[in-house]
Amino acid sequence: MGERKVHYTTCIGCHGGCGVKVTTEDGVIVHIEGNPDSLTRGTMCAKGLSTIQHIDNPYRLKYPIKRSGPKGSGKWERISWDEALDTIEEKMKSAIKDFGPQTIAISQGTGRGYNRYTHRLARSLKTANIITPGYVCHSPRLGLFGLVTGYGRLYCDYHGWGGEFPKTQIMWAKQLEISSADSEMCNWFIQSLDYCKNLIIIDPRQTAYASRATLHLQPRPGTDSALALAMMNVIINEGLWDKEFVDNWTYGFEELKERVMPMTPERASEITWVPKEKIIQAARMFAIDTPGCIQVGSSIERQANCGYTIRAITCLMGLCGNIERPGSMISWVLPETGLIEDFFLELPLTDEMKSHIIGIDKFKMGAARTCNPDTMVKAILSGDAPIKVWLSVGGQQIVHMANTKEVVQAIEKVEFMVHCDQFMGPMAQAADIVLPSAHFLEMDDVYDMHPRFMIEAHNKVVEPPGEAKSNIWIFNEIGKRIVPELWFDTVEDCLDYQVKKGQGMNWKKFSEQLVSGCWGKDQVYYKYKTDYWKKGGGFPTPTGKFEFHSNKLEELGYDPLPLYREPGESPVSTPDVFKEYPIVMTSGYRQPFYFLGQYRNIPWLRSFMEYPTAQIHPNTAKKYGIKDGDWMWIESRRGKIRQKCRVFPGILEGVLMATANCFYPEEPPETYHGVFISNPNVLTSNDHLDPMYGSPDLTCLLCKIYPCKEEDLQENVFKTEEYGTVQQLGGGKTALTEKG
Amino acid sequence: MRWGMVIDLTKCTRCHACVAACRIEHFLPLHVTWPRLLALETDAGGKPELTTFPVRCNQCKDAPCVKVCPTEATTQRPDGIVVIDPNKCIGCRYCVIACPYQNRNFLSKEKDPGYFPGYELTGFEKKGKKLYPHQVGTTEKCNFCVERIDAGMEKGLIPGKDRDATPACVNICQARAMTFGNLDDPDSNVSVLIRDRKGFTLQPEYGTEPSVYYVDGRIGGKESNKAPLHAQTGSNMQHLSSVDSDAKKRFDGLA
Amino acid sequence: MRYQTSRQWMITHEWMVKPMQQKEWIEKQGILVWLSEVFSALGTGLYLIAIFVDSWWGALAGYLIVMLLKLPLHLIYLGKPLRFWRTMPPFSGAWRTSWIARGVVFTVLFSMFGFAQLITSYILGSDFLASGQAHNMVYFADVILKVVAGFFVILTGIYCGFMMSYCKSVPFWNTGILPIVILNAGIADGLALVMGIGLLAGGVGVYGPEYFHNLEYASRIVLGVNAVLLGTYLMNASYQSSTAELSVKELLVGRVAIIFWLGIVLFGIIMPLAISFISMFTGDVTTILLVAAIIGHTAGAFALKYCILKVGIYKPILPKSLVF
Repeated sequence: MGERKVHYTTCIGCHGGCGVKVTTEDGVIVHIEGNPDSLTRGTMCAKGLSTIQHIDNPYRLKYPIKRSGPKGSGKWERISWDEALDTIEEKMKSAIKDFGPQTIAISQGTGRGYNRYTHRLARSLKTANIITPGYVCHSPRLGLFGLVTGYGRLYCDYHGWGGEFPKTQIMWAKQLEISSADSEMCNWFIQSLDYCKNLIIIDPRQTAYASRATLHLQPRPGTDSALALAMMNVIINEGLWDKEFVDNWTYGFEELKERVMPMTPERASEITWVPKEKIIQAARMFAIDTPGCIQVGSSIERQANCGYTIRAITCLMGLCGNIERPGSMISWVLPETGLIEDFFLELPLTDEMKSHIIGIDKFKMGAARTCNPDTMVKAILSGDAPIKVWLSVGGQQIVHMANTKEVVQAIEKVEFMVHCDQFMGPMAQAADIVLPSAHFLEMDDVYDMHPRFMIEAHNKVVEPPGEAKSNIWIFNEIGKRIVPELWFDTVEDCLDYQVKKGQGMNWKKFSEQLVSGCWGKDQVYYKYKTDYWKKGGGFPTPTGKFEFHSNKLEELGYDPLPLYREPGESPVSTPDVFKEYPIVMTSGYRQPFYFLGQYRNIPWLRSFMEYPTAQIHPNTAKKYGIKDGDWMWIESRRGKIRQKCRVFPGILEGVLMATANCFYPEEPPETYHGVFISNPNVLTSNDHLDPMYGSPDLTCLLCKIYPCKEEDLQENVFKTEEYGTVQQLGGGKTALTEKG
Repeated sequence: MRWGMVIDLTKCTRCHACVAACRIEHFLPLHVTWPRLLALETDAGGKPELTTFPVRCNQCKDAPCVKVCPTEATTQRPDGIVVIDPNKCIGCRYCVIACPYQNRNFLSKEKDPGYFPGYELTGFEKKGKKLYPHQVGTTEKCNFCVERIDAGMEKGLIPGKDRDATPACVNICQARAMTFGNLDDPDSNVSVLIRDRKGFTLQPEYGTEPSVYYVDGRIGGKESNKAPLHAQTGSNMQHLSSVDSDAKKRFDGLA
Repeated sequence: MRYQTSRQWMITHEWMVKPMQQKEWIEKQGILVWLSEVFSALGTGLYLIAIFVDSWWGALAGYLIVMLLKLPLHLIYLGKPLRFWRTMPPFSGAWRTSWIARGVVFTVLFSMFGFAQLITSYILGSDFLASGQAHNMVYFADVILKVVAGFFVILTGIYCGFMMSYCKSVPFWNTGILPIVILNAGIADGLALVMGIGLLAGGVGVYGPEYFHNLEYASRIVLGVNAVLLGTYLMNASYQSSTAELSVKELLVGRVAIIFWLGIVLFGIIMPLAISFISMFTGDVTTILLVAAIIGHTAGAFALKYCILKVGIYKPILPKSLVF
């Protein structure tokens, strides 16, 4: 037996956070499991475990490459890091000189540990045109919860540190248990169910937990706000609200009362298709069996009424006093290492920078720190060239943004684009230079978790393949070349800087300690009754109260109270369209073994669900002549896609749940890896956006379905006999990965 | 002593971590899967229900596979675990056919093309060839991580309680849906669960007496939401907790 | 469509919730099991009939089919053919419970006694020995050997059936009639083949061509029994359980229906029966019709084993039945 070594690190297979224990033998990973001495108690999910197939993966990018043919042609040649960085430096500097720093866009995928680097780099370059999927995931929650708690973080207290677990839990458009996104929280949520009296699941489709929950509400996709308003209506009419909290600590109760009165359960039932009795029951449970918490899913943020929906849900929490109580919604006390965002927040976002944010004139909440990507797409297509240099890391804008066709057209027009990734994907194929990124087992970095009560360490376990580098290194190098005063000599300096607030803390120490956090008796509840936010108590809001009525929103020109708006396309708002496209489509559901667009190239994970499937009710299937397992066309006014049909009784008739964010890594580069075959965003519209955040209706639109014929299934992906044997993953560019 | 497993269907989320953990633990070839998840979506009485059954070798007390094996390669240990001696198996697949739970995999050449067919084996795979060799042409299946149980018990650990003596899938499960223990001991964790929550096995009509039990039920309905002390303190991580000094100052006035 | 069925051992959503077909013994290398079972039935049936009617060539042909086709095909099928010896005592005591191990023992015993019988019969048939003490002893030995070898050839022919009927996992097979169906079909095929050998050799054993009539008569009975047995088997299966019923449906109207109706019913039973009846009225069998009957029988044998293996469907694992 060779030399064995055990390493401890933190997984970031999704948003991450689970403790990982890796065993190596002679420097080769031979085992991965959860770290029992972590907050996730030694558990992990399939995504994290399958990272073993990232290591030595022949399709990994190993060297910087530059395009040697037209965009999307898949022709590349290897270049050195110096050449890559020199080109980027030159392009950025000339863009700043000729057109101003705002013409540099920095884009990222969902938060995977690089948020603070993208933002710091953008701010140090003096641009605020940061493209993130935040506006369809988490940003609306941060911003609107921020109107309550100041820094925008309001999480469910699943821990029992205050002595109580939540008695009533609402999972709103969220399947936290399948840990597609918030792994560590999944673990805590499931543990907390051992102490839960009522579990209410609000989801258009049945899940394993919904089958066994106290109550399952199946709303028509896109009508959540009506549901929340009706629940408040019930609570107010039945006098169930938390009088002590509302009287002393809230602002605008009377206005809220007036606002929710028209939304009776009867009316909401008509809108949402949820039986009236269930709405009433849910409202009573949440109001009576307190403490309670509401886990909000990002599907709500993929709707053009997301701002007001989140506002409504927040008001519902406040109405029942489910704020800052043990077992309710809470904004956690930070660990001694402080807020990790300080790494970029310390650089100012000047008015000059703000004035150039694309979309700030329309979306005053969403486009305040980052640009509105859909507006940017429209701007590029209309002939402006607002973006000269686009530096992209991780994310697949082509996949996750609405109206794929327009997104591809716009991105192809961008003059110079750099993409950092581990594998070739749609965005890489649209780029001019692709930089190889390291996997989390191959890098040192600070991990920041969602609820911000702890940070953890990523420790390097093995060397990255070829010349791949961690994102922190890449961003530091680019930053150093353009604004050296704001960046660091070495990666370790940068890491030291990020943990400097901890007592006697530096990276080395932190790396061994693995975690810096605040929990147990150190966490403090009822912060509004202390001096934490305001001397003498209160919330960090303009009124010092929990605001049902938001003056801030009113100032910005929005309705200060929550309201209900129909989706851009729905049986109610567009009855004509509904005649031709009679099915309400949503794409909110996630597979526990994929993370958004990621992992379809990992054989172990692909094996669990090879093709994107769409669920429809047996009666819907019968009506349109589609059988379980068949491929079907899903068509909207924008385009059509193919997904495999899963006939599923746990979904309402006339509703379709499609798998989101799918492309086929094995499809050729010319097709952007098959992004038009099955990705539901081919169907979505980028014309109807949320007034506050600019979020498009990604999870509520109208479509029609019909079976695929044999001749419709001609792409490689349909012909694969054995995954990974027939076709070449990553577009067959083996020269890229094999070339010495 | 008879090792057994109880799987709580109210907890399983269909996340597939157990499958992945097993693949790592046993360096499984690409197309071989020992444990599996069965997706059941029913509409009994107009009430849709979605359930996931994690299945693996049931380690039956009266195992058909042991009986049909023509070379005595499949045997039952005194602790109830059914094991296959890969050096004795001739690959006749009789057991694959005879197992009523379809839980045996014949490892044919095509099921072991390497993780990335056409490319060099990964470092992990190469190590696996030495650390946990698989013989193409033989049949294999879940063995309740018998190597972990044996090594753990040698060190005085208790399977089902101590991580190092417990099957990998049980350890990894985020929902803690699986419990492992001694079925012969009426007071063991598994026996208590089976008794209290009406544990059942799959296809009992075969009379094979599986060692894998299932319990089902509903979520919620718990009487008390009071957190036990270990939850209140942040369990085993308490020594690493540290509060922001600014926050501390702000609380000082109120404590 | 290909892509729906290609990788079922991997994909959760398609796995075992629905009734799954057994594949190991019919698809890919599994074809070898099928062929091996076919030759097992043909060889043992032929040998059995041949020793009854004293057809040395028939016995030899039957013996060779078992030894040179059935055994090697099954051997090649094994994942580890070179470990074949592990199935046999004294290396293993598995024969106490395992039908494959028993089958191997039967086959080995048959190979020994059958070989000896072939030698004794050959000696008797040749002019090697004049009548006398030695001749009587050989004759006596031949009779004993025929009984013993006949016993083991029956076991060799029937064990495949028991091997399958033992599997509770596949309800369609899990019935006592199956081994008898298989053995009886083997005997019917054996009768036909013996006639074929007779054609080639110009007579069946010591008897002349006129003996065909007797064989035809026997064949009619056996075929009739065969049809009744098969019918009973299918009826019984469709009442026995829903999974077995599904197997029967697959057989009669499903994917293998063509093979069932054409191969088993038309070629394997109706055609030989019809020919047999024609011969009853005409009083004579033309060579062409006889050849046709033999081919029909053989095709029927291939089809029967194929169908039975192909529609071997596992009982779904889950307790609830209403699955979409």
